[in-house]
Amino acid sequence: MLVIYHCHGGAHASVVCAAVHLGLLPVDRIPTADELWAVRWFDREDPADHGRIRCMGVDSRGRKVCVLGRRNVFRVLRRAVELVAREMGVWSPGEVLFVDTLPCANWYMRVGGFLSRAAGLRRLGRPLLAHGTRKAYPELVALVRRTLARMEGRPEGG
Amino acid sequence: MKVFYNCYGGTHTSVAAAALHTGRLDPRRPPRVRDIVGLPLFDRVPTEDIGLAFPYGRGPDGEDVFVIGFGPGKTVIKRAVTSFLELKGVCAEDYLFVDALPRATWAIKVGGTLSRRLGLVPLGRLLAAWGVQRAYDRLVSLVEETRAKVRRRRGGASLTVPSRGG
Repeated sequence: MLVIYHCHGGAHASVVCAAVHLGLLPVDRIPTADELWAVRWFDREDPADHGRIRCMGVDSRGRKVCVLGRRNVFRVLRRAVELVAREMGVWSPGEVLFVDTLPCANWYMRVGGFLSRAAGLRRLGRPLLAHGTRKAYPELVALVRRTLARMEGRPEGG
Repeated sequence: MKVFYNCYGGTHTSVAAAALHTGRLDPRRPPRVRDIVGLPLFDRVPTEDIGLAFPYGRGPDGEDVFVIGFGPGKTVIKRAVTSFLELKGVCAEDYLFVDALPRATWAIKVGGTLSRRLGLVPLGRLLAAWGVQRAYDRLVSLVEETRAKVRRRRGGASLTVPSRGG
């Protein structure tokens, strides 16, 4: 089983969700900014690398947890991945779960992410990012909880 | 081994290249406009089907040929597809993505837009087919390069220009 958390750039919302999923970030409290910066790949994705599905680790049930920056072409991307994988004989329905994390991202994260990644203004972008991510954190954790529930066939939010 | 010809919509340039690859078009002489219009899938894939891979037959060395449209995000999408296959343990030698879009002429692009996006099918289709005719040599060379790559991967003997029409 493969869980792919995706957002625009694959550097912030998706990375935090994957880290929560893997137990690298706490679920019962909001992490400090330092804890966020310690997460591998948080605010690290190079825009020239968008599209690459990167595996961040394997969870306790043996599922691969991945992140993906899909810009604004998710619909076509998702379809192309499935169709080509099918032709190559490596697609089994229900085995791959794409989770859109972008709806959880607030404007602090979007603007901060843009400044830090696309514009290269880290000093300006990073404080905004840390603030925004901490603000959005409960929502991100809730999304991971829903995802886990969905995979285990429990009712949502369970 | 599978070869995927990709372009924007997966219905003009990539279809012409795939037709050449699978022997539906003769590389030695430019086809008539009506031959191009009559190709399966030519100018037939609707915009909402961008991203679907369609089988297009078999090449001379037994490789399966497909056409696929990647739309506006081709680099991101191609990377997603190849990294997914990598995660699944598919050997990179077993597939080949060939970007046909750089071989497209303005007539194919304008014709394709007229037909697919604006619904002016008769005009757009003819213009795109005419564009394929004009771009024929470039498409033939793209397909020859691709076939040579396929042959090399197969460990085939000759690295020279493949015999035409084979």
